[in-house]
Amino acid sequence: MTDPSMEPSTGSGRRVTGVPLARLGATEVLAVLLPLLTVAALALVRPLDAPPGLLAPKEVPLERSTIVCPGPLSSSGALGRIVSLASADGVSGELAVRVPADDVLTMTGIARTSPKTAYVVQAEGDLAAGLVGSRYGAGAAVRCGSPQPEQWFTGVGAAPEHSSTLELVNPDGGPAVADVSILGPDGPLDVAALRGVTVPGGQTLRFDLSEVVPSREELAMQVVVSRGRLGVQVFDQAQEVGGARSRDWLPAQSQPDASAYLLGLGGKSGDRTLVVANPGDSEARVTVEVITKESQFAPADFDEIRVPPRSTTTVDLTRLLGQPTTRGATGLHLEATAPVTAGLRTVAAGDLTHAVSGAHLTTRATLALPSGPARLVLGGADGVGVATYVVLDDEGKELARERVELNPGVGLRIKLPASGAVLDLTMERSRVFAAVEVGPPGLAVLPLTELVTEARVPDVRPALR
Amino acid sequence: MTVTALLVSHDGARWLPSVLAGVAAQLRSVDAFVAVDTGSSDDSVELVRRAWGQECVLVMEGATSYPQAVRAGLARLPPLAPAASDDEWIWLLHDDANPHPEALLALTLAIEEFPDADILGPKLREWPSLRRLLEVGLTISATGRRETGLEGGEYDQGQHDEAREVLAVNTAGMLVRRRVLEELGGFDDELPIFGNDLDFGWRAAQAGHTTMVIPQAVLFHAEAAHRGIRRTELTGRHTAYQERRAALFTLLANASSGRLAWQVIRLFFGSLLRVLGFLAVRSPSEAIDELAAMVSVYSRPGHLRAARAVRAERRTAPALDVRKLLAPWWVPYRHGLDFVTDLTAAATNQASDVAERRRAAKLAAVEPVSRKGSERSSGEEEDDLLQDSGLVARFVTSPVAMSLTIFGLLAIVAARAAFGSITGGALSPVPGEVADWWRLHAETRHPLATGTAVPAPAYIPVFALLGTLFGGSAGAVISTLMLLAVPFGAWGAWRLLKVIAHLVDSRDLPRSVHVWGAVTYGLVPATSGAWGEGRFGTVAVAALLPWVARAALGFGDPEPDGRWRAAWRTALLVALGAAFVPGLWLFALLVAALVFGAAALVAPPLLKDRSVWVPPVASLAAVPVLLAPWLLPLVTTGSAPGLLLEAGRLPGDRVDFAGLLTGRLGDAGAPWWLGALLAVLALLALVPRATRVAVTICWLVALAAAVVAACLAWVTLTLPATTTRPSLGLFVVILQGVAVLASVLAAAAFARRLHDNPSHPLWQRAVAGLLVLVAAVVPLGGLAWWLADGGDDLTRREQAVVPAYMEQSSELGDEHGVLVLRGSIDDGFDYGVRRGDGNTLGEDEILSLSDVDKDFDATVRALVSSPTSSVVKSLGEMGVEYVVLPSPADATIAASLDATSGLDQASAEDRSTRAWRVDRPLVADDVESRTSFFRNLLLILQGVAVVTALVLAAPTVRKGRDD
Repeated sequence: MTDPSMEPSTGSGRRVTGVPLARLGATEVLAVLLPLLTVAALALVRPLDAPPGLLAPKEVPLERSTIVCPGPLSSSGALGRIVSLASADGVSGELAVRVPADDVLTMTGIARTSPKTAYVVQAEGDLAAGLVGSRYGAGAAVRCGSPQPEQWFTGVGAAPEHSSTLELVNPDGGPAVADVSILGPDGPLDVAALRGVTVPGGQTLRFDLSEVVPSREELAMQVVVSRGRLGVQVFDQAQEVGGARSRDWLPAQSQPDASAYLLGLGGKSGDRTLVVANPGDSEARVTVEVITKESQFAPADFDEIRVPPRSTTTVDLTRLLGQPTTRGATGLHLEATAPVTAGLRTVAAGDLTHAVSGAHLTTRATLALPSGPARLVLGGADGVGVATYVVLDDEGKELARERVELNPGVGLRIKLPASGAVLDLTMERSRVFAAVEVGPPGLAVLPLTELVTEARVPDVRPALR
Repeated sequence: MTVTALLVSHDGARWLPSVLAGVAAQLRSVDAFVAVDTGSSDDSVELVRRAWGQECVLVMEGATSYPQAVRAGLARLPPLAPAASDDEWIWLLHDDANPHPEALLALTLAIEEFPDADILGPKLREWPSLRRLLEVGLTISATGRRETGLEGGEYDQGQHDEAREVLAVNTAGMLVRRRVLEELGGFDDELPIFGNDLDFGWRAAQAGHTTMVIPQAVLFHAEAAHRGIRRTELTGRHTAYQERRAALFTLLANASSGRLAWQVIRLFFGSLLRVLGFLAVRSPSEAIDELAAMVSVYSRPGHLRAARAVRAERRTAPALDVRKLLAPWWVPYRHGLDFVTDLTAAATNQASDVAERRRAAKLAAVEPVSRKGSERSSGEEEDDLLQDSGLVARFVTSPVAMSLTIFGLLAIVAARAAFGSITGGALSPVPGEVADWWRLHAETRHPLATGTAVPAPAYIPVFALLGTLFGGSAGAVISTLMLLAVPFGAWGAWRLLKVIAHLVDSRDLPRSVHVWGAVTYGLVPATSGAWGEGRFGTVAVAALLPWVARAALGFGDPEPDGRWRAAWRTALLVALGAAFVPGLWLFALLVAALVFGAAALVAPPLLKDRSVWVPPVASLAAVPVLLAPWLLPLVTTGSAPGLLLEAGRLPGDRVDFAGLLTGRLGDAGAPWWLGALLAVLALLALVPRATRVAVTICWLVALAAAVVAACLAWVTLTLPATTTRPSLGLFVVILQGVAVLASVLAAAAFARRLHDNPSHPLWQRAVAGLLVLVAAVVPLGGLAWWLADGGDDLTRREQAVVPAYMEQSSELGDEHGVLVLRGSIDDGFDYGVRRGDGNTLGEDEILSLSDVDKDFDATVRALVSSPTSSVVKSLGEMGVEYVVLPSPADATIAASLDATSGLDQASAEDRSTRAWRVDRPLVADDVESRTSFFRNLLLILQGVAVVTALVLAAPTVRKGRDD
């Protein structure tokens, strides 16, 4: 700018006025300096920071919890007659019974009762964290849980030889609404009767799928609670050709996942039916691996399963799991190219069982054990770690305590004391899938889920607009 | 026929020798003389005695009124002979009125020509100029104005030389039949000095007598009493009072009974209006005179009744004959229009030429005579549009007018979205009624969220006032702002560039450069993206900035009076701008400090003159007073960060380094390279030597703005809901304005060089051509971009969150709040309470500065973690009727709210939105709107401050017959 050759407009004027070419006045110096300083000052301007986001939710001890147990499988018999409630930490206290009627149940470490209907209890304070429950009896068992907004039941039937019943229990005073959608091999089924089902406060509704949506196909059912809270359970009934009818609950899966561990195949061989549902919009290809105590392997002569979008696919695994190589298998691992839900139904010696993928356990899982022989099945560890299980009896006395090593690629089946009342499983350094096999008589499988002892309190702040 | 001259004198020695000589020189001589002196302290009596003889002069005391003096003079004459009663005439003369030698002759000849006439008057011309016309007959308007039918200062060129019947003639030189004068009882004693001629003429007309003006008779009148040259005991210091009192009395005494009631009311309110008008043009003494005159007349109804009774007895002529002599009904309105026009012209031109006035003052110091001429020539240069040809022809042939008009129209087309209702970005929906804005301004505590004492933003009273003027339409205010900001800013830039160019160089800017500068600056609100982001604060301040700068240039006025008026104008404009972007005031303080610092270095004596430094200081100190109802509570409620924000809702602008260089607030602006071109031009502006100093000063301002922006960018304002940075939009506008100014100054110098010296080499012309091309791209590209882009973001409808029935319910009262919770457990929840018609324009700033209500925050926290019946109860006590989780509602929270007793599920428009009704008593005690004595005091203070500043900023308008 100060170089005379760069000032074309003033060149001739300078000659006319006779100002010396090389002289630099204060104005010239400023003329160079000011733009530089201005740009330098502007360069210091910091762009607007993103406004601070809200904090992650805080974990606080659970203050209130609600446990919903379904009604018994048969109103007269012993099938699932007993409800067992326990505190993971052995806390005693009073529980508020909401269903069938307002009542109080005193729990000293464990409480058992045998209601003829669905059973809902609420705990507050110390009791709230770690309250667990099960309903069991005569070869059938199910974990009682807190109401969930969304659940999947894969492998439900709606035919005379295999039919399922959906039970909706409203634990609260106000109405609740469930939206049930059903996937079949040919895509979603339109079931008007199950859309927007309103369950009045404190009531229980049951829907026999063979009446509501008669179908011979293996189906998958998603239950979304859009209003209020609902305890949702499905009980399944299967009849072998010429054989007896067998009933058991079908455990729920919380959400579709690309990786599923179906643990608890029992010791006996029988008819095994794997149902895989793909709620996504693209085809899912699913590979199946068998988990044994020694290894986890893909059977050589077994092709991958293709599940079309928004539909179910059924595979008969009777032959696969009957082979010598798969003897002693504790579970199946499904690896899919898209999130899927899956359930393995076994009918062995006239007894119906379901193996359903539980959730990855990170720290701790607790179960109120049904009475009788039981085995803890572990699999799907994602690293080398340690699991410690403790079995307590009715008085809270420790019956067994063992640390077991967890290794990826192998399964574990551990026999538990028959008089145990509470199982407490803690994991270190590795996540794992777990289920408890109960029986004989019969066989029932209860997938374990993470024990909820804390509630998450979201951060709040005034809105900007 | 005998003519008796009757002269009334009072301290008239200044004029009497000429007057007496004039009487003596009459071609038609006077038959008899009577003189009445009312207590002169000079040698008036002696002068008359010497001329007319001892016995002709009657000396009375000083308090004698004109009617009394005339009556005394008549009494001195021999009684009226019944036979010759119609042949005896009285010629009334004043001691400051000099008759032309032919005056009496012309009057007496007229008597023969118009035998019906009983009262004749001459044409009055100004004395001592002798050329200007004062009166050719008189009448009175319905508002009491003395109507002569002449323009102010009209020269006598024979244009009114036709004898005609009039309502009245001046007593100076009046030739009246003695019989008529005596029959009518002479002049009314209620009118001692002024206005008795009008009253007399009116009474004469009602009694069926004819008054005529005879322009061939000429009298030169000094109007000593009216002009205040001569003070008597009767006039005192307040001639305006006497004149107005006389006018009111005359109107009310002579009005027909049918119109009396109407006149009483009309004159009462008319007088009050005049009082306000006088106050508005800073004439308090005239206002007091006006008020006193009205009180004087209205407080003595007995006098009026008596006067009306006398007139009623003598009334014989048909009312229609009299009415046709009165001024037409529209005359007052025409005067009002003239007055407003004068005022507007004075207001718009008063700052116009600080540069001219400085130059004129310099010239005047050298040769005092040239001043007037130079002013007039500048007035002629003022605008090409004001030449003396047809309006349309002038418009069509003026490329400047055409291009600016087309630009204005295109800018309105580009802003077409604003014709409808616009909302988005920083712009919230407007409230349903303007009354909401007034209420917001008046409240101490607003029923927003859970109740807040943060004051309403300072622009609210401006919007409310505009909305009221627009017939109560709040939407029209925003539409007007967004539609007209760009043309208004361009107009301001046009006028500012004119003055600055005159300060830098005495010549006008080349037209194309002038238009380029105005248009480029005018487009800044649009190209910067402020318009598209709905940042109406930045838009408004961009439109105001050139006007502020232009007003501030008035501090350089050579006259202290001019500097003071500049101070009040600047104060008002800075306050108006700061109402939208408070940073404007802070920046003005900084600039003032810099200028004073520079002045202390360069010209220390300048700061010793109080009339130099006090006006700017007063002007900046007045801003907080003008904004007191906002500023004071803002500081006392701990919301001072609001001083660094701008109007409109958060989040703020996203200005960064590149944005400041290219004049862009964010992504909503024109392509960045258009702004970069302007920056390059501003850099090149340093090249021409002729304007280098001026352009360097521009860069100095840019540096100041850049340093402030850089400092502010590191400040973090912690607001209750978020943290943000001070608003930097103002600095984008300032930098753009400075860049335009620098480019214009340099371009003008360059263009003149090329023009004055046609022998430049071709390559220089080529460079010039290239620069012109580059420069033209900036405004043309910006305008084209704006026309194409058109603010889509502002027309998009914001999705309704709250179901319609809840909106209706929330308008029922403050206790029917709707709590809206957005978010999820993982991401946290933002909560807001909708009350009334939701968050509207003006409420966002309050909410963003309001402290978190800790109780309410805890209640919301409990609601989303472990809701219980008691939580729901406290919601009701805080005036929340509904809880809404907008789509997608967090299922876990929804389920837990479903399970909470006291919350009834409520329907929402879509299924993924969840809503509950609080089934508990609703209370709004803490929320309700409140106002306080202190707030009212602040509002009154603001009102008084604004009116005072307006009056003080108003141009001086001199009004009256002596113009």
